[in-house]
Amino acid sequence: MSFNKKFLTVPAILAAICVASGGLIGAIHFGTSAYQAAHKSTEAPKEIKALYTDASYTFGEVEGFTPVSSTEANFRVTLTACYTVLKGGEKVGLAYMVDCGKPVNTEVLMAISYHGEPTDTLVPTAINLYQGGDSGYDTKAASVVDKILKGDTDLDKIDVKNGATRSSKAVIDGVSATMRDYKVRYAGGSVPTDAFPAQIRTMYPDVVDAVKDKTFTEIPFNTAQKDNAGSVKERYLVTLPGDATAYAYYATGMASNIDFEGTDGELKLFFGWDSPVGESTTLESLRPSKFALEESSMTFDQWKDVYIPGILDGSKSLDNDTDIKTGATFASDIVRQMLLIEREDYYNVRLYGEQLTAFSGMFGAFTWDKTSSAVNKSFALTSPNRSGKVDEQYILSVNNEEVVVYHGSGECEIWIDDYEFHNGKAALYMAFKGGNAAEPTSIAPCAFFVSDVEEMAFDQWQNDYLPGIVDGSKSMDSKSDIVTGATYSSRLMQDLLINAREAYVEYLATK
Amino acid sequence: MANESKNNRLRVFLDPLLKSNPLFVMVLGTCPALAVTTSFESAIGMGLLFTFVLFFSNLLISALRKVIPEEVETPAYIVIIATFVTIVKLLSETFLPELYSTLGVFVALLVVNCIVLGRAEAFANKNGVVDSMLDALGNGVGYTWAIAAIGLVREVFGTGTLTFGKTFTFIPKTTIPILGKWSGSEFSLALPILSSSAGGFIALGVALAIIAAIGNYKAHKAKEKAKLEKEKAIAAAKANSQKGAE
Repeated sequence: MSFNKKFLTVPAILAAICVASGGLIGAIHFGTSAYQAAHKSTEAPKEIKALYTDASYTFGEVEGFTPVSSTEANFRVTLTACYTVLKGGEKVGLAYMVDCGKPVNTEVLMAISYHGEPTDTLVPTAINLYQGGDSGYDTKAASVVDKILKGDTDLDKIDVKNGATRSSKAVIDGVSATMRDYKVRYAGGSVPTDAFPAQIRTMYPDVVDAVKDKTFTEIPFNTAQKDNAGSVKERYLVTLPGDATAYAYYATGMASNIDFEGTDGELKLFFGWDSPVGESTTLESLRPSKFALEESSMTFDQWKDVYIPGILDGSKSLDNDTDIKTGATFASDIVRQMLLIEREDYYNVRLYGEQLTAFSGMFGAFTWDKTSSAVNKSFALTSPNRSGKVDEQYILSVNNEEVVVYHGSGECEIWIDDYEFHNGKAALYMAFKGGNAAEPTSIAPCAFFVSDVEEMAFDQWQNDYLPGIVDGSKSMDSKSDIVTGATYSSRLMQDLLINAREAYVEYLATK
Repeated sequence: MANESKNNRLRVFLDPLLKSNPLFVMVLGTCPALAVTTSFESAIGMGLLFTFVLFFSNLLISALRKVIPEEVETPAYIVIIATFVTIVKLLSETFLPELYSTLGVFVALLVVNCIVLGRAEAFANKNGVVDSMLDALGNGVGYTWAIAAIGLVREVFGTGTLTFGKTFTFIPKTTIPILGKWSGSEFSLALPILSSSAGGFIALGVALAIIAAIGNYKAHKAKEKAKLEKEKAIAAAKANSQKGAE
């Protein structure tokens, strides 16, 4: 081969072929990209179109929609796309693309549409279950779809089909998530992702908010059977419409050797407690009203199908040993232990919730016999107007040392920039220990907890004045220690502290 | 002379359909034949894309056969084939997204398909453009009907039904119950294993066995016929020699 052919002609030909190929591919890529871009925004997926046989329905993307994920009763569901359903250019409803999780080996995928104003008896207009679990089972999951479309929307109670149980549950979860979203989104609202576990919404569909109680510490338990154990891990304060509240508990339990192969079984459950609790309420009369499952790997389901429903409807009692004998004894016993702990905590938190929060906030660990005594210290001063009272006394044991806590509340007029008038209010717990009744000015609180604040405008009183009193750098008897910038509210604190100290000195004198 | 050329060209097109079918006779391109034949439609789709790539590759390679130096034939062919595979990938992704997602990686794997490269090296670089186009069409159609037949058997016997419109979404979706699921019933005579990977091997194996049996039968018959004719000829020769002696 000649030099020119080897080093010029051959590479040049190969290069020319490559360049021509690149150019051709580039041109086609440009064309197809432009086509895809032009058709992407206007074309609804065929799964959405398949919801309607009537071609007069058209679809438009919901502006600003981003996929919404939520953990439902059984699976994590993602609403991957949302389209406005239009007829004659008028909005008639919404259609969703839903990924209901992977119950067996394959994801359950479906498209769901709803029409009209959302009502309590909302029923999907159409469901296209286009991928429904393992081959052979999808027709059974499809029968659940038929039930839902016929108006059976009591999703917790729809009978799932034997042989496609998990796929059917995934379908129910998908419908449940879209229903919730539709109720908000149809009117144009955006759907925030819940900051609390989805099981709380499963138990209380109308939940306004749920906040994890950080003062709650995990309570472990053991059952009488084997070495089965678990713990009540979290407590949530659930706010419901009309300022009603409930408490939701998250608990887990583990049973060992639940079958002949020595497998361990695990339970992760939520219970909702919302019965009223008063002074006359007995612990034994309380029972949970809601239940939601996060996860279970137990072999038998009687704990879920027999025991818990019995507890919820009152036909079984937590205090009756024999009621756990349902056919899934290990799991039922674990559930029972969970509920016994939750019941006691619920009883206490309902009756003494504020105090328990305040005491744990001040001391962490403490013991208290849940009693209190009335204190009658009050003050009313003018210029500027302020008034208050110290009304309750609690005796605690912290690290084997007696601590006396007083509850006080008051209000004061506050002017901001000489133009705005506010009536500030505050309530706090003040703790005292030790001290000499003969020298009251030497007594200072050892801790405080602000339990309620309204319109106090400036906060130097709680960030500077009260901490200064507690650490001894300020004195409640010194006018000059009143904090500049929150003078009126600090003076209210000063009066509350002095009244609480008077009550404490009187208490010391009686000892 | 003109008739001979016409007959040759017809043979170039017709031979790959049956006599030298790339899948059933040459046993080439078995990988996609096993993988994408779970349904009749996806097999047809794969066949069409394959034919497109083979047709344009053969056309261009044949047109450039005197330009491409011998030393870089193979790399040049691969670049040309890869170009058309990329084009077919872009077009199917845009206009037939369902087909594209069904076929998956097997579209890209056409670059290394032995039939495409084989026809380029064995035919297109030695023959004219028209012959190469006919060869590509013959092989394309031959391969397409072969995998479509496997797809048809696997879908009908694997699911009991035959569905149209699932991959080619521009036609209305229709499911024809063949081996059951009549009038919405759950009854079916289908053998689900044929829809699985194992079913691909079973279907192709049975098809190859039937074709081999037919081939062997034909060869046996031809051999017997030849033997008979030879015996007849010997008998005739013997009779003639006896006649001569008398």
